[in-house]
Amino acid sequence: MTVLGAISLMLFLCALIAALRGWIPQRVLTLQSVLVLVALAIISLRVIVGPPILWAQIFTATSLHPITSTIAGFLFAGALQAAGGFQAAASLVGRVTHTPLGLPFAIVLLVNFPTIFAMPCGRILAAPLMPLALVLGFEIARLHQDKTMAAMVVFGFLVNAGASCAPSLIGGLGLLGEGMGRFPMGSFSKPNQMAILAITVATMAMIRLHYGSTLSMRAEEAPAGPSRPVPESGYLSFILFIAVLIAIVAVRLPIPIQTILTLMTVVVMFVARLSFRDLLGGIMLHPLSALVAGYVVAGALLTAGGFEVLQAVLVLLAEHTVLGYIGVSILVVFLPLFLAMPCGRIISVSLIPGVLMFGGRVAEASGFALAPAVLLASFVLSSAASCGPSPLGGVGNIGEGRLRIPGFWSSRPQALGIFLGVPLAALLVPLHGIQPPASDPGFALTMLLIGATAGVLTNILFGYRPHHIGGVIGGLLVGGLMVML
Amino acid sequence: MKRSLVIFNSAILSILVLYLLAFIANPLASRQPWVLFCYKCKACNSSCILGIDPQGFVDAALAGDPRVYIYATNVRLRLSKAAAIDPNMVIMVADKKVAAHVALNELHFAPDTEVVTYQVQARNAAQFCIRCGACERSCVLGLPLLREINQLRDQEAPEVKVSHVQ
Repeated sequence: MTVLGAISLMLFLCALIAALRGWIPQRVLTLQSVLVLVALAIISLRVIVGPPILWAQIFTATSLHPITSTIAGFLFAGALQAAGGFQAAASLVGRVTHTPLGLPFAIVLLVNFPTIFAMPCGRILAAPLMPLALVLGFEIARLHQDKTMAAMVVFGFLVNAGASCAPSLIGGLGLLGEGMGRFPMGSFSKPNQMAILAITVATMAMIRLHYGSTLSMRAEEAPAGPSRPVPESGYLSFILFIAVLIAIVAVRLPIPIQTILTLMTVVVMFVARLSFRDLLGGIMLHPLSALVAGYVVAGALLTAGGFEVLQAVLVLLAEHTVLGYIGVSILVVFLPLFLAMPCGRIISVSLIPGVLMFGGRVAEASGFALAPAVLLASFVLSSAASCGPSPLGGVGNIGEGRLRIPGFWSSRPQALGIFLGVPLAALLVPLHGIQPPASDPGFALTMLLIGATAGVLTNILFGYRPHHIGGVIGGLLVGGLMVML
Repeated sequence: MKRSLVIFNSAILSILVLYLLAFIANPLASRQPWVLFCYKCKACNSSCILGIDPQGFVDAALAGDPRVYIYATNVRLRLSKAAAIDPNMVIMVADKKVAAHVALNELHFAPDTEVVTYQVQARNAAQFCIRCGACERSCVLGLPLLREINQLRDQEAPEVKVSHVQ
């Protein structure tokens, strides 16, 4: 623990709070500028006070993958939009709403879609499916004359997308935890998927029951394209998108997901005869630049020993306060929410060794051998999901931008949703053991039950009867797909 | 926003763009463009019997510097050897994680004390690596990690090469 590390951490926290509270107005300095200036200040301090600096170490905090995933996702979203893919999806959803399944079925399926087809970065699906979430959100808001419902759908979907990199077996954040903790690949995937269902419902509930009254949304309806019949290319591109997603998850091709998305974009461009300009409409620079700025400041903190100080403080708290190791372990699990970074990988890489150390101590103190696994599964989920509420270019910012909501409003309901949902993962790990087989009837039943419960709660939150067939069938379908895929 | 502030904020945005460009240029310069595809999922991590984090080699290629510190948590060697390879190498000794030179000169552990590595420079980790290829096999993208490890080994001057784990 060094003084430089402590000063760096304080500097970062103070600047972050000042930017978020509006003490540093965005019209003067953007969040990105604040972060870069903090990074420069930390690095300058490190150069002046500390031992010789290894500049390259700053780069190690940066992960290119979420950046390129977001760009590829935005481009593909642009292609789908221009080809009429979302028009086709909206038309299909419209047909479903005229069946007894209704809108609850479509909502349950859409908000949980990213976790069913868990991608290595939530942004991969968040970007292309956002227009569909907007269409569904505004449709149900119109039906119930309650615009809060649009935010419920959008942020339920986004928090689900943000967390969905935890259970992904194709390079998700969960693999990072399992790899560093030396657990078998996919150990926490299913419990995390179940907990994400709870996080999603809890976030929607928070907006409905508490934060809806503070919502200030300037977007009044989904951005509509020119009214025209759905072109054949729209259906074709949307079906292609779903088919490729299923193939990726089922076959786990050893091809970077960005390459697949880009190839799909090219195919859609060819089918729908699109120009490059058509793709650019969906690109948002803010989440991208904030993500890079977040990485830069994380690299600076890493070099200055900021994360080491954080760990040292946690050990001090555990050893010298009534919290003890068990109390501080809970604090550790939710630490990524207090320091919500634009990508959970930043804090995970820095803190997982500490999490494992705490897990070991808790196991010694309590005699509970699975403590490290429980702690790690919960931490990984909390960490992955934390990119949803992160104001530093987190996935929630995409929704705030589309709905034109100022002041990082969605951070709190998302953070509380994560806070309520993560314990489910902690409960499921000891209940079904590490890496429960999908063929285990007990585990499959638990997943179906949790799916159905999520469906019932979604029914209630959107003003339908609890036993509305759409929500229940949708929840069962989500649970079933999670068992199978 | 005032014009001067627009210019200032734009300049900072340019810094971010340059940072990204440097990030992409490094692996291209070292002829390891495949490192750009790494998901940083660390699926490779659990497969290394020496506790080396193979993704750290990717970090070294992205950063364009083989001196980047990476995790290597199961390599046993004598303290004097560790300090000779890299005095700043982080080692585990008597439940402490300290730099090798600190253990030797400030905590006064005997030079013959057996220590376990914790964080070492990528170039040294490449020397420790037994090149079994387990990391490549566990990579979800099948990235050629051994190619980077071999390049790091070849870059190292022969006199600094680690004879091997003791």
